[in-house]
Amino acid sequence: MAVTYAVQPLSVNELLNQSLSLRGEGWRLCQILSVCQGKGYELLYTFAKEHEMLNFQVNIEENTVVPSITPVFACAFLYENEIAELFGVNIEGIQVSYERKLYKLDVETPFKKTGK
Amino acid sequence: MGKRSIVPFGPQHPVLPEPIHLDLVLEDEKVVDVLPEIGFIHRGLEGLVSKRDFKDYVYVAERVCGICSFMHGMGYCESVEHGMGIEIPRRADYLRTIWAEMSRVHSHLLWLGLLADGFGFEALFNECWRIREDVLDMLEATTGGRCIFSVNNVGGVVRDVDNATLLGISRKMDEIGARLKEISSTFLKDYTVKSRLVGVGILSHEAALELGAVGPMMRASGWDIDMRTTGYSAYGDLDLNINTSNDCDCYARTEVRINEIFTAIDLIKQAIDKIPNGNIIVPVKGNPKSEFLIRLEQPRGEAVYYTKGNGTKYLDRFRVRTPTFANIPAMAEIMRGCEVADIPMIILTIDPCISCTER
Repeated sequence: MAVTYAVQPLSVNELLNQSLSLRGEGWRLCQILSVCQGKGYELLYTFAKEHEMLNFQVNIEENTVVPSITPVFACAFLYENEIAELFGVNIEGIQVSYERKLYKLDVETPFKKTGK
Repeated sequence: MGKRSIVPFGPQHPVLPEPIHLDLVLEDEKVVDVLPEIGFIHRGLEGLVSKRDFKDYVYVAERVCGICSFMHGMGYCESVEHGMGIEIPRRADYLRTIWAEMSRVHSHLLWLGLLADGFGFEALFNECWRIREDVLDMLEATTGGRCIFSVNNVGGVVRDVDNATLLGISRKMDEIGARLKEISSTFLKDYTVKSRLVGVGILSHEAALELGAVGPMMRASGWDIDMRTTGYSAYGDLDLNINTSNDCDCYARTEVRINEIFTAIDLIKQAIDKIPNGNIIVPVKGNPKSEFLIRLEQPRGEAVYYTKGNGTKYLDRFRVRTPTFANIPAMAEIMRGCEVADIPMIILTIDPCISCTER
């Protein structure tokens, strides 16, 4: 079996519906990560089902409000808190929010490359 | 409803080798809610990728953790190599597989010792770590390091192991398997050990999926998911037996990890039998321009490695999602409803690695 990687674009408005649909089909949340891209961010959501993997790339502007997927995948709270704290991504509605104090850093949004 | 009180657990506690804090909401002796808190040792190692040459960064990646160090270096290299379309020599794939499985053996033995220490069985702790020493000796003999090996490089590995030494490792693995068999019966059959593990910290089959659990945590809840079956490195050439249990409790997680040591020994022996001769590294030309995400099966479960290049020698992003990071929500969930005295066993049976988690 070859190790492959493919990514599909997804709009921020479709994020919750897509998550809901995947959960209904038995997919699990594998990870969420953020990459600085220009003045905004690329968010990569990875879902897995047995050994299959789906990657969705959500491109957002700096101040875009991203809905939390914790109502669908409760375990997303750690990923979303991390992205909010390290990159400053505005994620709304995280069910267990650490208010950007997950890692208790002195430096605000240390991984953010724009707006400094 | 009894009177509620909040008891802080950690970050300093005898069962915690690394710091994590839990706010336990108790009603008498029963845990009714848990709020995990990390952030005591966050080092920002992922951020360092934009300041180090991508070929040198492998040494930073290896230092994400001292136990699964080898696989962090391997995951980083595999991600960069796949992104750049580099095909490494098959001998390097086999060597990586052998060292990865030896790392799994020593990691699981370390964990078994800590578990024995956690339930107060000091002699068992000593025996587990005595066996582990032999594995570390073999790692030192073949790589020069006992925990951090620094043998991975983008393009292959930097040390070869002669075939006579590999045969010696194969024979030594039989001996380690026999010694493990002796102590595993204590873990799995002793009445006092079972009284601490059976029926404790139940993570149901459905909850394991919903909460994103990975590795032995998931396999002990009946899921036969193991990233090694995706065939990365040399695993595609080896016969892998996925160890699972349907009991979903601390005992099941212990049983799965013990069986995984035997499986790892079998994989090491298979890899030594099949390892081809040839080069161990290929030259790397140019800089990474693309992105790649790969999943590896670490001792604690599925780990995700993502790299994104921009055509320069500095990467835009390196991301590692460690197994413990994924297992924290499940750990918090299975504590709800348990007795406070069971908390140490539950924490230990997720095999937490907080350095990995915080990076």
